[in-house]
Amino acid sequence: MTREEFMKQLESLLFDLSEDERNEALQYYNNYLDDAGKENESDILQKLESPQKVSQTIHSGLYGDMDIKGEYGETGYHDTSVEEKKLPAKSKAKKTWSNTPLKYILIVVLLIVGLINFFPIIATIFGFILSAMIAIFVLLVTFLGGGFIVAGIGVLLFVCACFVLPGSFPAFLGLLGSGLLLIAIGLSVSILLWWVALKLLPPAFRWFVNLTRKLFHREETHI
Amino acid sequence: MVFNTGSALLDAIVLVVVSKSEEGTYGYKITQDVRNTLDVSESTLYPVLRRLQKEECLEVYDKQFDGRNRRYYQVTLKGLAQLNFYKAEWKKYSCKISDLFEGGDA
Repeated sequence: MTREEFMKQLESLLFDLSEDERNEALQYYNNYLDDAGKENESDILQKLESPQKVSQTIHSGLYGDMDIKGEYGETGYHDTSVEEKKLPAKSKAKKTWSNTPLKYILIVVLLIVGLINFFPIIATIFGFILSAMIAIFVLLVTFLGGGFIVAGIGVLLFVCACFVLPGSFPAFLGLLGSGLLLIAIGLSVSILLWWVALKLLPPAFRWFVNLTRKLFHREETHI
Repeated sequence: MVFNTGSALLDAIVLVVVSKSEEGTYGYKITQDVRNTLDVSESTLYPVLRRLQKEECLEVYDKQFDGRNRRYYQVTLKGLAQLNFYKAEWKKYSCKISDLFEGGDA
């Protein structure tokens, strides 16, 4: 970037300052570059990093300092936007090696024994629960579908009623009545089942997953 | 730089550097002088100089140099008082730390 470019960008970045303040800053840096000499110009521009960085420094110097109260101590004034925070390295907790090999051997033995004995039973229970959930889900879908079908029939009857109206009034009433009734029943059944599905299925799944997790967990911590 | 330089310490350093010249000194020279001691960036000192000027610890005047204007900074009486205060505080503070490091008897 040329000096002119740099100073022009800096000027626009200082738009929010008062004219006096802005001119002061620009004058300072123009003088600065003049005093550095033409031969050092590009070097200084590089060291200034960017108009953005200079603008930031100026802004935080004007406003930021008011936030720092009594920070002239060990920590001092931080330009936190510039400094990278040096975080202390996380000390890794050392695993105690005592007894661990023995523990592992015990775990493996128990796991094998447990699996041989319990696995068939657990698998069966598991399968049962899973199929029960699938069955419930299928039933729900069927009823949901059924509910909508019933409502659909109701709509059809309603439409027929309108066709029949010119011909026979009683027929019209009959069809209208039953149509509306079916629509009502179908919709309410559907809505009820949707509600059941939405409210009960997710917790049911969660319970199932937790159960699974607990089972496997228990086998591992069987010491 | 192991220890960060607080804004008060920066103020003090700028004040002492400027006070060394009777006729005052200018921005570029001040920065170079400070950089002999501290690793500050080229843009660090402008806010400090500006603040000290607003607090009337420094005053400015322009002088023609090489066919252009050069702005000189000078320490005011108030600035000198402030500098003396900083010097005293620094002495107390650094002595305490040194004592701690050298394991002096409390």
